[in-house]
Amino acid sequence: MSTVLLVAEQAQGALRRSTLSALTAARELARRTGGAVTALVAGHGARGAADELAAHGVDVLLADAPVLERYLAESYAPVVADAVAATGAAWVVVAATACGKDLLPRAAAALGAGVATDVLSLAGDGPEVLLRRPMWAGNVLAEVEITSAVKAISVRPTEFAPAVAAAGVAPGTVTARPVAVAAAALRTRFVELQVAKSDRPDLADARVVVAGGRGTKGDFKAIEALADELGGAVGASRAAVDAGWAPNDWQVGQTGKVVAPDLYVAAGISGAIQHVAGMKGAKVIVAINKDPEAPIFQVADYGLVGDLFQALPELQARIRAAREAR
Amino acid sequence: MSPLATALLLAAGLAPFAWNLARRLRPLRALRAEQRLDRPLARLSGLLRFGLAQRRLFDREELVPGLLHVLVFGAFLVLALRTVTLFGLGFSEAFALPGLAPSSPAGRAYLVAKDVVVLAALAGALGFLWRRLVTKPARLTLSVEGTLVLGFIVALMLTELAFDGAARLRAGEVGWSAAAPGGSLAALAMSGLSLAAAGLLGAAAFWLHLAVVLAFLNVLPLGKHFHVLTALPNVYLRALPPGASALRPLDLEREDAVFGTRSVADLSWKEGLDAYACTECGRCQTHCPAHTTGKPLSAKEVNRAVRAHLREQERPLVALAAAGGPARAELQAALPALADGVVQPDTFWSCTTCGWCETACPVLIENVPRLVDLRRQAVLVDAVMPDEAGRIFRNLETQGNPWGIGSNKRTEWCEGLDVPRAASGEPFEWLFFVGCAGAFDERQKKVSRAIVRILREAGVSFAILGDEETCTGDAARRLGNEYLFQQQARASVETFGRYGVRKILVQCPHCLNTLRNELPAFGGRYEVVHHAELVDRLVAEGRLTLGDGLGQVRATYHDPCYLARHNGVAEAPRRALAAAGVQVTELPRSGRTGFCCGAGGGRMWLEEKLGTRVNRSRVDEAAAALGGAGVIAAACPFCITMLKDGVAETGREEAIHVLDVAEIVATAMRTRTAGTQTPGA
Repeated sequence: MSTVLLVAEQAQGALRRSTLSALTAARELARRTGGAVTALVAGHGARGAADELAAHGVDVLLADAPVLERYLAESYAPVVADAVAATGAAWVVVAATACGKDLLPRAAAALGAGVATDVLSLAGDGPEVLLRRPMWAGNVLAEVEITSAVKAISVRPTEFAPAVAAAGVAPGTVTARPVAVAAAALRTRFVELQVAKSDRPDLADARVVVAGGRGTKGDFKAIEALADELGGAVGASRAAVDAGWAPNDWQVGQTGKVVAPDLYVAAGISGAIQHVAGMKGAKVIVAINKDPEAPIFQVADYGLVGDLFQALPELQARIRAAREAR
Repeated sequence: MSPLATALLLAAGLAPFAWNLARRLRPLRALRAEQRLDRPLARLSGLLRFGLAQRRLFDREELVPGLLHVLVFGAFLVLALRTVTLFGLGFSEAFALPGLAPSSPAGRAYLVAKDVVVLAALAGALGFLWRRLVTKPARLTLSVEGTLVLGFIVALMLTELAFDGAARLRAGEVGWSAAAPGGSLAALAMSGLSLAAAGLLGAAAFWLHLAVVLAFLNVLPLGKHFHVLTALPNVYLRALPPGASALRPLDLEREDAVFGTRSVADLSWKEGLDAYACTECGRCQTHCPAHTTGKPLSAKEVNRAVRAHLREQERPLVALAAAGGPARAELQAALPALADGVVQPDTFWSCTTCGWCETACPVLIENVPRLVDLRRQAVLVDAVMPDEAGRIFRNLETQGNPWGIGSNKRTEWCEGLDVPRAASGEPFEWLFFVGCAGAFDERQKKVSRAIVRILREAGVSFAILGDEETCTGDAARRLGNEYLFQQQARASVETFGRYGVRKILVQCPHCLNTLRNELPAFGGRYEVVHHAELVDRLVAEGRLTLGDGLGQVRATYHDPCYLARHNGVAEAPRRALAAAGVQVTELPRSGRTGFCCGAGGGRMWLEEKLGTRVNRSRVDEAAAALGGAGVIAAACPFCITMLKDGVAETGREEAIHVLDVAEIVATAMRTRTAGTQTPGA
């Protein structure tokens, strides 16, 4: 019987969605190793998140203290180590988010745990669970096994479906843990949090990106409308950014942002290699361009030779109609 | 005259001069060691050509100030003898240099020459003063020092003339004499004076002249006019070819490896001397693509900053030169980082390594390598670099190309063309090194295919490496990632060795430069030619006959820096174009003095955030030369990308097209075939 300790992530008492994906992974791990999941919620005023998690039928340790108000790897790692000691957990699971990636190595070092990061899937049963993870910038997938007594992994949230609380499930217990971290002893301190405010998802993480280039002639309305229809982000080629039609942080390409959405719509973008280098990782590329010779059609999965000002609104109308019909 | 007064004057003048000279030179001993005394004959010939013959001062662009300098420089050479003679006269009125006694024919000839150069130098100095005080061209650093030195020169010439004129008056020689053009003119000017007054004026002029010589001498080591003393040594000690075209390999395996330039002590002593030799003429910045488009880079300003910094750090450097062992490391670490206020990161990241500054510098200052060395420190040690630089490094590491496109897609450009592979075991003459752009960039793939057509037409035996090809690492090296470059270079040398490659054909001047100039340091020596050179050869050998490449369309040719400037290949592409029936309308800036497109030195892979865009400036120039419409021929994937973007950005897509020389030649092959078929049809 081995306990799997899920380290949750929360903000202002609300559970982060990525934690629910990590919960799915933790449960699978518990099933394969014949153990059970216990979760750790750390923070200040985090009771709400603990209750939210407990509603999934998970027992929760709540480490609530002013010193944990702001996330710092240095103050959170001992809390994780303490929870492992209290539960005798053999596994530590975090979501591979910015915080998870930051916290895991430090906690693992404190525990003397072997680490596998960015785990995509699990295989095998018993203590020798195999962990599948990318290596060499995603060019190969490796299956690894951790041999230390305590094992620490981060899981890629997009690879595990978020857990859904089944109706009528008995909620888990929430147990408070004392926090022994002294603020004065910390050698890192929280300075500030800068939050980019946008109604749209961040370009780098968006599942859908609709991008415009020189072909827009400066009119991004149709691009933005389609992006909003699809809940996606807006991108731009360097030419459009240079012309002052789009802000700098929309630029996709070799010298802009590199994106890998599920869907990339390139409208009025010729597809010079400097742009393609920034979006070639997209799962599906749709190109709309007036010039049938445009190199964008070489990389596109779907290409439409036509006027974007006509095509995009039509596309948007069809998508809306299809959605309403459902 | 007075031996005592002369001796006292000399002592009073030379002692502080020697002291200051030593103070400026001693810090250089703490700088990085570098061998600059090899191949004395090549160095002497450089000294003659660039030093004594003032080669760079005859560049047509700066001809007038160049000629003024030649006048003053020539005068200094001739008058050096005269100065020694004058000091000799101070000791004894009968003094003469051996072989130059005033009564001997050689002595008389010398006096005539001396008078001519005195007048010339006076004209030159007055011309310079006019530029400094009246016309004030932008490239000059206007300073009190410059005006003072010109004042000295004018004073020296006037006192020289007054001394001679007085001597002639006292000897009763009043009128014009072709044997003493200067002295007789001065005598004429002074003819109203009494003999006694003239004598007094002559004596005053004599002593004043000696005093000014010594004062001048003492001013030299203090500022930028140290140039006068250091320029000729600097030319002798220059970097012999290929110079900045082959950057210095770092020994990365050493325990005490130094990765580039952190502090002034990491500069080589020659780079220190470079800073002394710079007199801030500013030729380096007139066509610098970074400077002219508003980036904070000017080679002369870098020289000025380094010179000032050397002076500031004089004591620590002298202590460092004397120290050994752990004390040395400690002293070295205590020196401030150059990137921290002496040469700003924005300055060294702005350079395109196009080499204009080095080709323009009359005293052969090495501006490019020291900027790359600062990038090396930033990348290899501090890990502080533009984000995009990290991206191209990662792409090169994982996929061997700057875009990070799967390395297994390297041969997609030639699918269906049945291009032979080196690995097939069939013998081949030329290895066609396609390059990353030629293999992955849709635009450049057309050029690769055009080259294959040309090779087939001329019956050239060739093969490609296919998937085994990897980036030469040019951009990685120039962006400061020497480690990655060396990895790429070793891989290339190994692959070439496996197939016994001796002759390499490239389509990218950056590949050309690295394979030709930089691989020898890694044991790879090959004959490397650009496709324009090969076309030129094939046409000359009669293996390729061409029709008309462009018809009546006007065309100009943009010289890639790494072809024309770094590798001296300027005529071959023009001959290739001529063979294809293209009459090139030359750009104002072409050949060795061409203007960079903005993409060299790894700048292709960085965002251009400061100032205006280099490529637009170049496209404007080309559009003007073409009268608004036509073809810009180029021979480099980077140039083609930049020019094409520049054409689009300036809304000229309909009027101006950017084509590679190979594409024009391939079209000319087709029109010839069509032409020969028509009569029979």
